[in-house]
Amino acid sequence: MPTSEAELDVRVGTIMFTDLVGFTEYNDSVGDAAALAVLDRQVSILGALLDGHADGRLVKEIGDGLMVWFAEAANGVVCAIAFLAAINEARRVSAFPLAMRVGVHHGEAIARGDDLVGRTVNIASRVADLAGPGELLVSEDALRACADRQPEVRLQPVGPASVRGVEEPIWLHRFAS
Amino acid sequence: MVASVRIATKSGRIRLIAEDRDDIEVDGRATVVTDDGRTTVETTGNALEVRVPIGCDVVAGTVSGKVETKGPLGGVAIVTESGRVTVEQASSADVRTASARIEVGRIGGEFRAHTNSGRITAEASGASDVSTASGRITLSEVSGRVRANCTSGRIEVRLVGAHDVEAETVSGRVTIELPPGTRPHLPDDPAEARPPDCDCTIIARSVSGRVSVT
Repeated sequence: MPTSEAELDVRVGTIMFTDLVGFTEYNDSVGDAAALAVLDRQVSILGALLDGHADGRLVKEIGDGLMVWFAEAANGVVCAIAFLAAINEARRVSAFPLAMRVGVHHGEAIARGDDLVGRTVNIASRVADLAGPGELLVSEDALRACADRQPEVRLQPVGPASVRGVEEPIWLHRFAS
Repeated sequence: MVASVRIATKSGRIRLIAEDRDDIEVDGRATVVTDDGRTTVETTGNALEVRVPIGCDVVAGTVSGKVETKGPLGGVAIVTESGRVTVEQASSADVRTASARIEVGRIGGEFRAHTNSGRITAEASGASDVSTASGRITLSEVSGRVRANCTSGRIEVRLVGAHDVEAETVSGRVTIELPPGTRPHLPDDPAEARPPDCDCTIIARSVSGRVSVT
């Protein structure tokens, strides 16, 4: 039976999506064991960062990508910056083979067991798709939700993303390291 | 004087023209809102022609329409899903598409372009950071640091001046052309420090293609 609007378990928060650029080709060239080690390594780096953010949790792994939830937008943005910086640094010293791209969006998501679904999730995924290797894109909604806890970083505007089924454009900003 | 414009449409083509004027002129059905010195133009599916002052910063996006700019703009940031993007002249450019070609003319400063499947070409640019999953990357005259990443496609970079380059492709040729007299450092390990007698670091890798630094 379909769930009614009233029965939905709606959560307001911030979603971070990540993706490892070229993972499929990397897997083909190094084999499954080495590729699996890369996935373990990124989850381990994220886990260490989430220890400092009680409101954040890894929702799920999607292939080589991660979906992470934060109740507080500012924590989501700060963690995304730290996660990308950690991967970029590991990559610089040849301790991690692939570049990561990251997208962050804020809004309402529907809880389905431990999973989260809905428009906000779809938008966050699309935001990550638009990021380049080693780059973080943050939606204007996520920045606005940070309110007086705006991250003290330089942000550059990026054109609006369009998402299927979403009427209004999603204005994006790029975190410039 | 209009200094900054944001434009969003769903499926229509966007044509941007920088010319000698102080205001903004929009040809096409759209909502135009000016707030705190920033003008936002939004429409759901119409072709737009927008005339802005020379040097104006523009942030624009569409799903399937082409985006084309004419004349000298300031900072340009464009996102499309499948519409080809052509930027004639800008002080900086950030262009992202899911599956479309990106062509830029003269970019005075930073050039950034990312597409999942499509060719990226730039006539002249400053520091450049570009990536495509499947498509050729051609940067003809770069006066800054280069980072080019490609999964299946050729990478061609011609530098003016000694600048660091990091170019990686899985299946395709990598060609880096340096100015005469440049003393490049070509490290085996990317973390290796540059020796004092070298003036730039070139990291060029291809899993199955030829790498050439000349």
